[in-house]
Formats: sequence, C-alpha cells, structure tokens
Amino acid sequence: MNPGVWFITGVLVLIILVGAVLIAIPAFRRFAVVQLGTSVGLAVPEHLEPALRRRLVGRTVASLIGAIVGLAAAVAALQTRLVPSSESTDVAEFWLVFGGFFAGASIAAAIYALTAKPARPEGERFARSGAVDLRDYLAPIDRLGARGAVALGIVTVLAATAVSGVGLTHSNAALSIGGLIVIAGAVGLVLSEWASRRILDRPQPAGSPSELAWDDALRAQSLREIVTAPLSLGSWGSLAVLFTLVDAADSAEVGGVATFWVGAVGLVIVLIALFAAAGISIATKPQQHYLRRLWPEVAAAAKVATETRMAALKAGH
Amino acid sequence: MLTIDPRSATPPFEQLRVQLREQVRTGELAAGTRLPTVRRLAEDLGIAPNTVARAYRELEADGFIETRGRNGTVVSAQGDATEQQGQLAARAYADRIRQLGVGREVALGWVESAL
Repeated sequence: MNPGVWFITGVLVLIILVGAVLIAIPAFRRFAVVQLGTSVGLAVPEHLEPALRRRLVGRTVASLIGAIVGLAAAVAALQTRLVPSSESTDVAEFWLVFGGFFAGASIAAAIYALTAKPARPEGERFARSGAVDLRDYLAPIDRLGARGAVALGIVTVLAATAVSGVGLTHSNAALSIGGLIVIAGAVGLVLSEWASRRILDRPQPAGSPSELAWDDALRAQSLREIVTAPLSLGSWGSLAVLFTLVDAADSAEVGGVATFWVGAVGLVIVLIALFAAAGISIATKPQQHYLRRLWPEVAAAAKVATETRMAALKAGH
Repeated sequence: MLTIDPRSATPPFEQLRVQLREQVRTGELAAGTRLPTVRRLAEDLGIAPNTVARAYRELEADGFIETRGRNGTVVSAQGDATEQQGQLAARAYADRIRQLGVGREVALGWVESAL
C-alpha cells in the first residue's frame, strides 16, 4: 500500500472514531434524533424520543463497527497481497479501501435491521390496510441506481477484457482490484435485494400512527444504507477498472493511444453519470420518498410548512 | 389505517372486518389495492393469524375482496359493471402516477381537464 492509501485509511478511521465519540454523548444523541426528524420530514413526539434514540444509537454503532471491520478487511487484503497490487493499481487501492468502508457499514446496517427486536406496544395497535413493497421505501435513484452501478461495472469489465482480447494491452485491466470490486458489487446487489425483502417482511407493531410513520422512516433509511454497498462498489469498481486501463495505455507498446481513449472516454462517461445521479439525488430528496408514497398527507403538510417558511423569509428580506 | 383495541368489547375479528369493509365502501381502499398478508397483518396488530384469516374470508364472501393466488388478496371493484370498470381504470391511473412520481394535485388537475 502506498502512503496515499494509508492516509485515506487514516482519515476513514478518524471518521469512525469521531462518530463513536459523538454517539456516546447524550446531548448529541438528542440532537441527532432532531436532525433525523428534519431529514426524514417527521416531528419527534416526546413519548417516542427515547425509543427513537435507542434505535438510532443501535444502528449507528452497528454501522461504525461494520465500517471498521470492512476497512480492516480491505487493508488486510492489500497487505497480505490477497488481491493483486502493483504500481499500476495504486489508484484502484483507494477504491478498495473506500469500498470496504461502505460495504462493511451497509452489511452491519442490514444485520442490525434484520435482528433488532421490535417493541411490542401495549393497548391499541395500528397497521396499514394496504400492502407495501420496496418501491414505497426506495426512490428510483436508489433502487435502480444500485442495479445501474453494478451493470456499469460489468460493462467496464467486459470492455477491458475486450481491449485486452484484441491485443491492445498486455494484461487485462479487469483482472485487477477494480474487477474484484465489481464482482463484490454484483454479490452485494444480490445480497442487498435479499436483505431488503427480508426487512420488508418484518412486522411493524405500532401503538400510534406516528410510531408507524417513524418505523417507516427508519426502515427506509436502513434500506438506503443497504443499497449503498452495491451502489458504491459498482461505481468505484468501474472507476478502478478504467483508471487501470488508462494506466496500462502508458506501458502498451501497441495500441497505447486507442487504449487510452477507450479508458479516458469511459472515465468521462462514468464520472458524468455519477455526478448526474448525485445531482438528481440531492434535488429529489430520496430520504423523504417513503413520506410521499406512504404518508402523502404528512408530506403535503410539510411542503406547505416549508413554502410558508420560505415565503416569510423572503418577505423579511 | 387499521386499529385494533384489545380492551374493546367487540371481538378483534369484527373490528378488523368492519374497518376494512368501510374503507372499501368509502373508496379509501381503491379497487385493485393489495392487502397485507394474513401473517403480516396478524403480527402488526398483535392478533392471531386465524382472526385475520376469518375476517378476510368473510369479506371475500361478501364480495369486498378477492384472493388472486400469488398476487395475494386484493380489493374487489364495487357496484355495477360500469362503476367497476371506472374504479379499475382509476387504480391503473393512480399506479402509473405513483410510478412517475407526479404529485397528487397535478394528477387530479389532469383528470379534471380530461373529464
């Protein structure tokens, strides 16, 4: 591993440590619940706050543990040379480290969501009269984005293999860390689809409509964390394969220019796709998708409140 | 939304049956809407699966819902043939609007204009 990869690893460890310290502070936990409420578009009822805090802490701790395990696994794989490592794959090592971090956090979030025991409220019980499915919790950008990213990864692996097959490069860029990340993304996609369906099958015992709405919000957030693994692995795998391909073009005796252009054009297309997806994600607020689908009246009220607040701010100026 | 009060003198099966029937009658549950599975609804409401199954059976016998094999239990279209076709068309429109992510007000505006 080169010093740059060690530096990135250090930054990621620092992020995990800061997260662990913050979540241990009671005042921060309360603040985090309020922030979560703003993000998912729900008010925090006083009687639900302690239970929400417990769930938030449980999920955050699980994600932090998962992130550190994933990061350690990625570093161990590079240090023990379980994955191919050379000067030409330096850039790809970054993506493997990032991939380990996010995949670990996603797997841990899935395990927590599948194993956490739901509270059993006494007295009156509330339930939704219609059935729900994944489309109610995940916005198209998340649901289809994960599949698209893995498909993109597979296309870059096939392109790299084709470039190598016609003799433009000495080695196949797909047989590198990038290819390994894409394969991990494909496996992650299958696992995430399975875990998502298992989470949807879990009961939602609720003692009030607001409890049910909050359970929907946390469920949607867990599902979004789970699809992050194939989404990030697929995207970064594509980038790692293409970087390796561009790198291989430098050393190619024949077809160097052609290989460079295939890699460079591929990189530009993948980067544009990633930026476009990020832009759409920010603009469409996918964290509130569940609210628009399952609680349209709450979403409409929140929208009116936001518009009123914005109008008042404008009038103030 | 369904609610079951365990302290009520009305048996849970009857509470469930009446609420579902009213939601179908008033259109809150539109024709074609899929209902939760028996096991899932029983777990959510903290009642026995047999209780939910009994409520579903009686609603099916009364023509409010129907079982469609792998597609689960869905709300039946109500009224005469014309009303039933209208309800199914409305369901199809609502599903498509949800797929497209179009807002409720906009979608209702389009229906108004089209009518």
